[in-house]
Amino acid sequence: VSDLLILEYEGWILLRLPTDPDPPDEKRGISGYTFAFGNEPDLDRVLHLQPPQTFKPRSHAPQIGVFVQNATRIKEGIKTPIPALQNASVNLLDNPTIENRNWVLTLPGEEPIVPFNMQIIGENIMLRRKAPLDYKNPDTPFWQVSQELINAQGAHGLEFEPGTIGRATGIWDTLAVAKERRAVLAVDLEALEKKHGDPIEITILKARIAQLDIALNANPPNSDRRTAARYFVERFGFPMQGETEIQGDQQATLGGLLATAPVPGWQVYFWIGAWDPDVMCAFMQGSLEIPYQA
Amino acid sequence: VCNLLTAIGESPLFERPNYPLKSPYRSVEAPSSLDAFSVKTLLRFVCFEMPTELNAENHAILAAAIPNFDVKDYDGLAQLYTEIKFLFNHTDPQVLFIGDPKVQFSTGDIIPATSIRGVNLGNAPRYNVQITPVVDVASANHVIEQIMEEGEGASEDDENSHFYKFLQIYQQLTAELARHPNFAPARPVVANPKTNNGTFYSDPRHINVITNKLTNQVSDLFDMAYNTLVLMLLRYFGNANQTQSELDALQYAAFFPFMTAVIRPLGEILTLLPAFQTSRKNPARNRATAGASFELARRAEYLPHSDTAWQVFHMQLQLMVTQAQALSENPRFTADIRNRLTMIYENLYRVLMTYDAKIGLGGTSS
Repeated sequence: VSDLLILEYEGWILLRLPTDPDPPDEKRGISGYTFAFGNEPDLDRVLHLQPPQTFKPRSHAPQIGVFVQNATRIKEGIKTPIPALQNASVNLLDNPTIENRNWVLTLPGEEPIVPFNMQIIGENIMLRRKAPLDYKNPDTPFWQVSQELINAQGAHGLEFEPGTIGRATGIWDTLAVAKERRAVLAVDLEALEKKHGDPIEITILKARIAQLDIALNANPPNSDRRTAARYFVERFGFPMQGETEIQGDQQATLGGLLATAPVPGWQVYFWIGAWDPDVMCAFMQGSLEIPYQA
Repeated sequence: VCNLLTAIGESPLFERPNYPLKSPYRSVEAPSSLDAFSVKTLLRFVCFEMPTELNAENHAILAAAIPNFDVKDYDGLAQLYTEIKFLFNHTDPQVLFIGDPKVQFSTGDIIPATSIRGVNLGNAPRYNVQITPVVDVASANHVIEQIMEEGEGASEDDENSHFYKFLQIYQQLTAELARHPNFAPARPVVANPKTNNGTFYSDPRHINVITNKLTNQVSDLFDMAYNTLVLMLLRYFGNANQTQSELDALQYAAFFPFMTAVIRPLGEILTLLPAFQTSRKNPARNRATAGASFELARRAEYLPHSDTAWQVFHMQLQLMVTQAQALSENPRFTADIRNRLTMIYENLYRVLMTYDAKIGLGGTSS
């Protein structure tokens, strides 16, 4: 059995996507329940694991950023911390999107993330690996890849897991969060109107409040997607078998060389959930297992 | 409505005259026409969804907008469904419900969302859609009441009705226009656009044949997609002898992907493309854009032989893939439109690939 490098990571991500039944390339949101309001940038569908460079998330969004919480080497059952990767930033490169295409590729909750190119930047060490849907034919467009391979890398379904969400984020009552958010947005709006603030910002706040009102007035309570979605997770787990790049002195930082062969690959597991459509953020938590070279 | 029809042994019905239509229902004084979003268009929708009784406030709003307004001029749909309900309740059920229950569909058949931790979602609404099988008088009444409550002739102006929603939009738009008279909320689409495909129109006064050749190609693809969808729906709702795999293939192709990922974006693209060839004499006409024709180019009738139907759908999809690919590569379109056409091509390719796999036909070729 090879030694393993295990990275546990978590954090809030930004995911500004149109929602069914809007087409996936709808830029502003029409028929779903997510929208780009006022002068906000177009919906990009991109999973931002780190803060975007070109625009600010909405007010009252959580701090965006996925980071390694624990970096450990396991050798013959003994765990050793790897300080160089503690608090390392985790990112997905090349504008990854959850590809479902209005159920063209998969049912909701079973979609893959395309492309999947994970990067971890620690102290004096950078790990990067791609996970093409078909690692033997990495250039095949995702919409031509066999259903079997898409399903293998897709999520395992939408699961109702309030406990998972509560333990990871501290949020146990999604309606309470929506009520609190509505209250603070109303305060922001009142203050802005009082000082004759930017009419576009005022419009954005009004639109957000209107969306929260739809959720809060739903009957039965919490039956609207805007709040009910908070308790769901999408779980992913697959081997990363594509191109690998490692920068830095592996011996010095990791205590050995990492295996880069396609088989068995690097095993990545994570879930995305706690979706908050008002700020278009979700929580991500998972682990990455990388074998050392024998 | 298809469930109601097939429950009593009738065929599902998708046949209709092409636009513009004269008032399609008795005593509904509102023609059916494809027009740009405007106060006039909105009022037409309000009238279509008119309940049989109005409260004083709503009555006053409409009386101010429509000369000689009388709610009775628009209650044809309510009368129609009231009569249908009466007949369902006064005909011997043994004689009436002779349809095969296998062609009764529920929400989960149309929108097969995954179960949650193995718990079946039952017939709970999804995306505000709820479809209930019709097998007896009680379920028929339930379905008719749902249709009416949602708007097809409701008895009163309920806040959840289509009527109420359209009236709200009407009020918001008229208020906005009062503040900003130049506000133009819609693209300059022509009324009742038609693909220029050699069809003879006996009365061309109220239609607009698309003369821009590039736009016409997109319109042609739209028509093909729309007509294929209708044929698929007929087959889906109409045949009790289809295997589950065949039903899955039709469901997969017809509902979410085709409606939202092919037909809708094609329709949106058409509203951005010029309807007519450039004219020096009439610059205003140059600004006019096309739109979706929703033209039934062939009779929307059931394809009777299964194997033939599967082949027809395969060939239609294959043809659409080829056309969409050619359009997506045409440099005369702007980059934005080419991107959308590329997405449509990819979606069609995938729909065909999955359809073939589910039906058991040969492989997809690009």
